[in-house]
Amino acid sequence: MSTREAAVIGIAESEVGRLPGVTTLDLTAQVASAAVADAGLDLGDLDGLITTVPIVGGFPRHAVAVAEYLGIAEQMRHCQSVSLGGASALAGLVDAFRLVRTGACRAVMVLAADTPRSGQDRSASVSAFSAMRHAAWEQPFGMLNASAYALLAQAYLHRFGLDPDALAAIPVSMREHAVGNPRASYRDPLSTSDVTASRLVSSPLHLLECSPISDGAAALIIGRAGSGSAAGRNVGLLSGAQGYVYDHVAYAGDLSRTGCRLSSRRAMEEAAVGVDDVDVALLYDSYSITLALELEEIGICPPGQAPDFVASGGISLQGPMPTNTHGGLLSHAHCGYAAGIHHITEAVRQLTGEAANQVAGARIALLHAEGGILSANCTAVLAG
Amino acid sequence: MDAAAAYWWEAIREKRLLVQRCTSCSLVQHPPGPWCRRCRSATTLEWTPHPGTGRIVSFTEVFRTTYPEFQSELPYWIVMIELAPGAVMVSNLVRADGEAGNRAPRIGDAVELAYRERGGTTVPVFALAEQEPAR
Ligand SMILES: [Zn+2]
Repeated sequence: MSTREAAVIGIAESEVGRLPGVTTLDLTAQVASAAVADAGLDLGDLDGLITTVPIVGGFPRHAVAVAEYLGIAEQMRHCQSVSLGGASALAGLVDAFRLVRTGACRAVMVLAADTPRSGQDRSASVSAFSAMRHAAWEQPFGMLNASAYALLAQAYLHRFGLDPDALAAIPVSMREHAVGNPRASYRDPLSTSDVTASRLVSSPLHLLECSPISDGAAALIIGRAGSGSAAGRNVGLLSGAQGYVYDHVAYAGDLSRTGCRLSSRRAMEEAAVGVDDVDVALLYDSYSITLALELEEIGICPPGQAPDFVASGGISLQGPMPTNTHGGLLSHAHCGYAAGIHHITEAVRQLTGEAANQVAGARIALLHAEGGILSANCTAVLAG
Repeated sequence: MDAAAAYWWEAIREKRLLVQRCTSCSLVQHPPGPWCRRCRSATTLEWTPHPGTGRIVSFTEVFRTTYPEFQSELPYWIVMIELAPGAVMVSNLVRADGEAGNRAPRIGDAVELAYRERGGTTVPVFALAEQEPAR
C-alpha cells in the first residue's frame, strides 16, 4: 500500500499558555473549524474523529462527545478516544493514516485540547498527575510523576558517571528554539546556571527541567493525498510504531531500558530510514531526562553522551539533528493530555517550509511521543 | 489492587516482607502478580519470606508533594531497592534522626528493612545498613 495514499492535508493550533476563561470545548471548536478550513474542507467532509482525553473537561466517551458538540456525530464512521498519555496524539495520527489508507474513512480529524492550567486550580492539576501513580506500589511511598522521572534520571547519571547538573543543557537548548518562535510560551533567554539555580523538585531534577503546565489545543486533518485545498499541505506518513516495556516505574526493574528503543527501531525499520536520513526530530521532552533518554534510545547519539551532544549544539538548528525547533514541551507548552500534538504540527510546518525556525529543505521528520514515565511509546516518520 | 497485592500488604501489617518466587524458572518477582511474568506459570509461584536486605538502584529526594500524609516528612527520600536480581521495590529511605553519619544515599548502598506507621497503615521502609564500609 503506497504511503502516499493518505496525507496530513490541514493543521490548526490555538494559542498556548495561560488562557483564562477559555474551556477545553472552546479550544476544541476553535481548532476543529480552523483545521478543516486549512485543509480546504468543511466539517461535513469528516467521517472520522480521534481525540486525546483531556485532564480538564473530558467526557467518558470523549471523541463521541466532541463529535456531538461539533454537530458531526451522525456522519462519523469512526470515533476513538486515545488514552496513552503524552503518546495519545501521535498514536492517534498513525491510526488516522491507517483508517484513510484502508478506505475505512475518507477524512479523519485528530484533535487534542486541554486546559489544566486555567480550567482548575494548579494544585488540582498537580494532584491529578500524582493520582496517575500506582495505588498499591507507588502512592504509599509518596511517588509523584516528577519523582518517577527523577528515579530514571538518577540511575542514568550514575550509570554514565555524569555530573548531577549535566541535564541542564537540555532545557537551555529548548529555550534557544523558543526564543525564535513567536508561538512559544517561554521566550526569555535561559542559561544552564538559571536551570541549576532553580529549586529542586525531586532530585536531581530542578524546576526548569520540568515542563510547565499549559492550556492549548491543535488539530490535524488526514485525508486522501492531494484532496486538500489546491495550495494545501500534503505530508505523508512513512511509518508509525508503538513500544512498551513497563507502565509504572515500580514494575520497571531495569531502569536503563524503555519502550522508546522498541518503537523507534520498529518505525525506522518499517520506513527504511536511518538517523542520517532525518532532517528534523520532534521528541517528547516532558522533562530534561526524557529527551536525553530518547536521543540515546533512538540512536541519535551514543549512550551516556546526550548531555554533551546537546551542550555542543547537537540538537540546535545548525546542529546534526535539529530537535524540537518550536521549543518543545519545556519552552513552547505542555498542554496536559494535548501535549505532543504541537510536536506534530511543528513537524508538518517544517516539512511544508513554514516553521518559525525552519530547517532548510527539511524532507524527513522523526517524531517520538511518550506517555507516563516513558511507558507508552510511539514513533513515527513523516515525509514532506 | 488485586488479590496478590492485598495478600502482600496483609503480610506487611504483620511485619513480614514477602516476594514471589517461581519454582519453574527461578524468577523472583516484585510487585507480585497472578502468575510468573517471565514463564507465565501460575502453578509454580510461591510466596517466600524475604530477609529485607537489598541495594539501592536509584533514589530521589522530594521537596514538595501533593500527598497530605507526606507534608510533615518533607523533604523525603523515595528509593528503588533491588531485593533480588530483577526484583525491585519502590519504598522510602528513612533518616535515623539524631544518629551520627546520617547522609545522602548512593546507588549501590546496602539497606535494611524497617517499618513505619503512616496514615493508619504499616508501610515497609528502608534505612542505610550499619557498618557500611567507607568508600
Ligand atoms: Zn517463571
